[in-house]
Parts: sequence; C-alpha cells; structure tokens
Amino acid sequence: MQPDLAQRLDRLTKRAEAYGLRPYPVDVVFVPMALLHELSAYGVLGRFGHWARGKLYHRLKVQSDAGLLRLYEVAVQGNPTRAYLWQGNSLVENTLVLAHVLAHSDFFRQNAHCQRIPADTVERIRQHAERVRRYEESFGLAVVEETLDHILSVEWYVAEGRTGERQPEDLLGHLLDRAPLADWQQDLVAIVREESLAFWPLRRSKILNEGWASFWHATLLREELTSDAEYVDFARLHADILRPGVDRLNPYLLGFTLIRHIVHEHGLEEAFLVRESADDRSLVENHFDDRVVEELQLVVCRRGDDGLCWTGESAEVRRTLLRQLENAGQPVIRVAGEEDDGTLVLVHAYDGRPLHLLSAERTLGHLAALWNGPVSLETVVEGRTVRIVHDGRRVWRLDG
Amino acid sequence: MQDWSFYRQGERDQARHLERIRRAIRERLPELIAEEIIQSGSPGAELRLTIQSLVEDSFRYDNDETAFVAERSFAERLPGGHGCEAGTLPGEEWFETALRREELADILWEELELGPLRPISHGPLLFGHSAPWDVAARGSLTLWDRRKSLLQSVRRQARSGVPAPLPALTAEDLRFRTWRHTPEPVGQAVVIAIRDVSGSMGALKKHLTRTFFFWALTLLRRLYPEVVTEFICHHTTARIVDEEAFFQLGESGGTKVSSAYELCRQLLSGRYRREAWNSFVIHFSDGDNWGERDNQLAESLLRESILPQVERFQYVEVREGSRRSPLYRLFEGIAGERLVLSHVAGLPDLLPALRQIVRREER
Repeated sequence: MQPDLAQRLDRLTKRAEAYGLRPYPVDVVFVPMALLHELSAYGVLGRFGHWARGKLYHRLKVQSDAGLLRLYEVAVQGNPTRAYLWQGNSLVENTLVLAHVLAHSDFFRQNAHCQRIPADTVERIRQHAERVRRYEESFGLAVVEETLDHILSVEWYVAEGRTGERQPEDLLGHLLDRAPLADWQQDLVAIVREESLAFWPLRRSKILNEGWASFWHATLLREELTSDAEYVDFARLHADILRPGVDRLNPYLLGFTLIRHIVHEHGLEEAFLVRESADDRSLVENHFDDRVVEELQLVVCRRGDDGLCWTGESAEVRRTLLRQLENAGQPVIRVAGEEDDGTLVLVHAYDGRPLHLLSAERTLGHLAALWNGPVSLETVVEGRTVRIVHDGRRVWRLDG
Repeated sequence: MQDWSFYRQGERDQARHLERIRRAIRERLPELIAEEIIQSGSPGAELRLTIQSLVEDSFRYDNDETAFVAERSFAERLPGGHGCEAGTLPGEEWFETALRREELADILWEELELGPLRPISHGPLLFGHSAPWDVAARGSLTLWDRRKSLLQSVRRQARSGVPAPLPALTAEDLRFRTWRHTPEPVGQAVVIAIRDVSGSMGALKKHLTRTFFFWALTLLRRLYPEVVTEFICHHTTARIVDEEAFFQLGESGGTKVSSAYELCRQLLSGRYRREAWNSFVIHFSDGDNWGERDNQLAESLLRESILPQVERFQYVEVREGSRRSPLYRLFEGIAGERLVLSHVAGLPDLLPALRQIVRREER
C-alpha cells in the first residue's frame, strides 16, 4: 500500500463517520486487473464456474484491453468490507476509490434491503463452489453444465416472503419442492436460489448504491486533497466515472444526481433516510423530476412505425424509467399451478411490454427438462393472449 | 503478498465457452463454409455468427419492441437516431462470434480428422536439411541449452565491445533446444480443375462447385507452400480457361469427357511433370457423357495415363438424387488410393467430399 494511503483511509473514515456514515471496517487488497474482471463477472471470488460467466469475464477483459472500460475497484459486501483495488491505481485514484468504498460499506450496513443478506454469504458461496466441483468430478463436467444451463435460465426467479410460504414468483423454489430431480440436481437448484436471493438487494439498488458512493467520494475528497495537481486528477477521475453516453444510462451519474438533488432540497438527513429504506424504484418514484431530466438530458428511445425515435418529454421519461426498474428489469412471471396432466403452468404478468419469444421458448425448454414434463407460459403476443407450451422436445402455441 | 495467479476461474470458464463455440461451429460447418463472405472476402474478412446456443436463455423483454431511457448523447450516436428516422436499435448482446477464414479452415481440418499436417507424395519426398534439434530463443527451462546460451552471451558482449571477465548471462542470451515442428517443403503442387460446360450450371450447382473448389484449394495450401491452378473446360472439345470463366461458362453441345482427360494428360506430361510437381485433379461432372464408347475411352486414359502421374484424382459428381451415373460406376472399378469418387447433391455432402481430396492412408 502506498505509505500515505493508510493515513488517508484513516482520515477518510473519521470524516465519513463525522458526517453520519456507519461503514464496516474496510479491508484493502491490491490486485491485478484480471482479478477485478473476475470479481465483476462472478460477484465474489471463488464462486462456482460456468461458461456464461467466463463469457462475461472475457468481454470485460477485451473491453478493458481496448481501453473502453476502466475498473478501479470492486467492493464485496460483508463485515469487514473487502475492497479490491487495482495495483496500478495512483494515490489520488486510490483515495477516491477508498472514499467510494466507505460509502458502499455504509450502504451495505444500513440499507434495509441489504441487511437481509446473510452475514456469511461469501463463505457460503465458496462452500457451494466446492460442492459443484464435487458433482463435476462425480458426474462429469458436461452433465453438471447442462443442468446448470437449465437452472440459470431462471436464475433470478426467486423470492422470499415473510410468512415462509412459497411465493408464486419463486420459480426456483417451486422446482425445489416439486420437480423430480436427483439429489445433486436439487442441491444445484438450492445453491443458485440461495445465491440469487443474496444478490437481489444489490441488483435492485444499483443506482442508489452507486449514487450514494459517488456523492460521498466527491464530498470527502474535496477536504482530503493536498494540492491543485491532486485536485485536477480527482476532477478528471470523477468526471470519467460520471461520464454520460457510453452505455444507455450511467447509474453512477443518475444516482449521484438524484442524491445531490435530495441533499440540496431536503438536507443530508433526508438523504440518510433514503439510503436506509429506498431501492432504485422508490428512489426514482419519489425524487426523479423534470429538473433531473433536464440536467441529464434524458430521452426515451423507442422503435416507431417509421424507425427509431426518441423524445425528451419529461413525464414519459419518468414513466418509462419506472417501468424499466420494476423487478430489476425482469418480466414478472409467476407459477399459477399444475394441471392434471402434470403441466407446470406459468403466467407472465403482461404490462404492455412483450417478451422476447425465442428466448422465452428456449427457457421453457430448460424448465421442461428440469420438470421432466410439459411447462406452459401464458403471455400476450401481438395483442392476443396465448399459451406457449414446451414438452421437452417441441414447442407450440395455443390461443388464450 | 497474496499470489493472485491462483484465481483462474475466469480463464477456465472462458475456455469452456470457447469450446462450446467451436462445437457449435462444427455443427454448422457445412453451411458456414458455403458463406460468400468467407470465400470472396480478404483473408481477414470476418464472418459474423449468431450462435443461439451461446446466448444465455432467460425470460426477458423484446428489446426491439421496448422503449428505454437513455442519455441524449447516447441516443444521438445510435444509427439513424435523430428524432424519428429509420434506423436500428443497437445490437442486443455481445453473442456474435467473428470467424476468419483461417480459423474456419482450422476447424474444418479438425472436423475432417485429417490428423497432423503431412504432405501426400508418392514420389521421393524432397526434404531439406532435417534435424531433430533446433535452437530457439524461447522455450521451456527444462530444455535450456547451457553451452549455446553461454556462446550467445560471449557473442553479445563481443558485439558491444565491453570486455567481461566471465560470460554473464542475461535473459536474451538464453537459448533452448526445440523440436522442429513444420515439415520441410516438398515441392510445388498443381490443382487441375475440370468441368463440363455443355449446358449451363444452375445456381446451387455453381455454388457447390465453387465452395468445394475453394476449400479444397485452402486445404491443399496447408500442405504445400506453393499451389498453382489450371482450369479445363470441355464439351466435345476441351480447352484451358481462367478461374472466372471456369465457373461461369455455359455452352451448348454434347459432352466428351475423354477430350478433357486428353488435355489433362498433356498438362501432366508436359508442364507438370511428376519429377517436380505434386498434381491433384478435381473433375466436376454431372455424370453425362457422349456414350459408352467415350466412357471407356475416358476410363482408359484415366487409368493408363493420368493416375500414374498424380497424387490424387477426385471425380466429383454434382447431381441431385442418389443414383450414380454409368461413368461413376465404371470408375468404381479403378478407385483406390489415387482415384477417389464423390457424390455431391447438397451442402451436407461437401464435408465428406472434402475429406477425400487430402485424406492420407496410413502406410
């Protein structure tokens, strides 16, 4: 660690706490870039392997090598919070990154949704990986991979109610209860389900989390920097993180802007409350307005009859964004029940946005493989209610 | 200090992903090798593939049909993105694979199970100087050649003019023993293509013929450093043409295969003598011929004058259905190591046919 850095971390922590943040202790580790790519792709080090994660890892690596992407850090939730920093960061970069991580740590600790993540998640994920490896040894890579392909097609269809009853949105839970799976396959379903439940709170609060962290790295850094030169470096870095137009919508920029507006209008206390109880959807619902649309020059893009168009009409932007954020961008699909012939019946809660049909059909095929029987999905195609049925070999459509 | 090289999950999983890509490509090989862009584009031209089995399946919205929020600067950069104009939404996901000709050729080679690169030659193999060891500047430390490395160090220091009491080794001085991997050149090769141009070729047949010839040439170019081509067109008489004409020509008249074989014989005893050339002949035929007499004439020319002069002669019958022509049946009698017969009715037949041109029997 750069000699100055330990002292800076100390000062940053004290100042953050003076403002009211309550981070866990931060554990700093310096790593090569490949490891940051791996962390981004897998979420945690030591997680079970799968070709799709390898594909993501490779894409991050390629984009990074091409200069399109720059990772500075990955923070892994827990107590202590593990901060992985790139070995090649400069002192100013590391200072900003540590401030950013402190705020992440505070978020992990204080946000109500994140508090539901089990404390031993990282350890459990490593144990899962161990079990997956043993299954690969016992049954062969191809067989395990095929089962994982099936399960991961509905990776995020998990839910936990307060009553302890199986929720209709919990597809994986339903498979666990009712699908005729071998013990080891059951275990794989349970593993994926458990990990998805653990990552859900982060998934639904990406904008809030990054906005919170960006706001605090900006606030804390201003008081920490020792020279004009450092300030210039910081300004450049900060601008880079908040840069618009690279990908559709920069969550750092949107989150930062929203938190700034909240602080400006209602004070820090309100911001702390938001960090405690909100997620992306409620953040936008309560605090996204015309001024944000204006400041960030946001538009809605859609394919019209005559091609691609976009509009900056404020209400429409807000409406579209809220819809995008529902269920973390995932179509709501529920288990409706089982038919007498054993068909597993699913229903898509259609809200005007059609499903990608080929993908849906293939996913039903995966489910049928696990279910060892037909699976049907009710959805709306071109304005008409249809049932798509996959029996493991063929797929077909029935009217309403 | 932690050793981070231990964490290689990303690399391992990417390797699995690549293996899946290769498998998917192998499954689609017959159609992929027929793609225009791979054949006519530059060697670096890429074929972009959408491989469905490599897209992670999930329940998701149809992005084409769904509105999304973006920063204006992003929207403006979309093709056609200015107010309401014709344009496309950006590509959904990075699941395209780009494949270049050489990569496809690699996969083709593997798929045809052709084994390690070894040239085919019935004559004396014209090897250059061959040695089990070679000396290289890189290699495994287990193969470090101490003497040669020290020698290199001395040379280097002599060049720099700096005297040293003892030869000091730097990384650049290290020399390693290696095996020589590549076979020595075995001379030149010629590919003579023959086609009957009485009547014109339909689009599918033209496509099959071009595709087959392109890949046969590509495969042969892996075995021989220099490959030249000759094109013989014939109806009742034969003549030499250029490549473009070979695939385009369509004339009227009858067919005499013997005329083409006679011209081929002349090339093989004149310009392309056995002593200096490895010859391959590919005859694209639809099976029609003048009659039984010319069939016999063609067969004896082939057997007596052509086969002894070539590495391989491949008779490719491009024709619908599964029935073989009388000419094909006649040639079956003399088929063997040097004469191979293929029947191509559609794309799926290309791979087995391609295997025939470079297949090497174990001695």
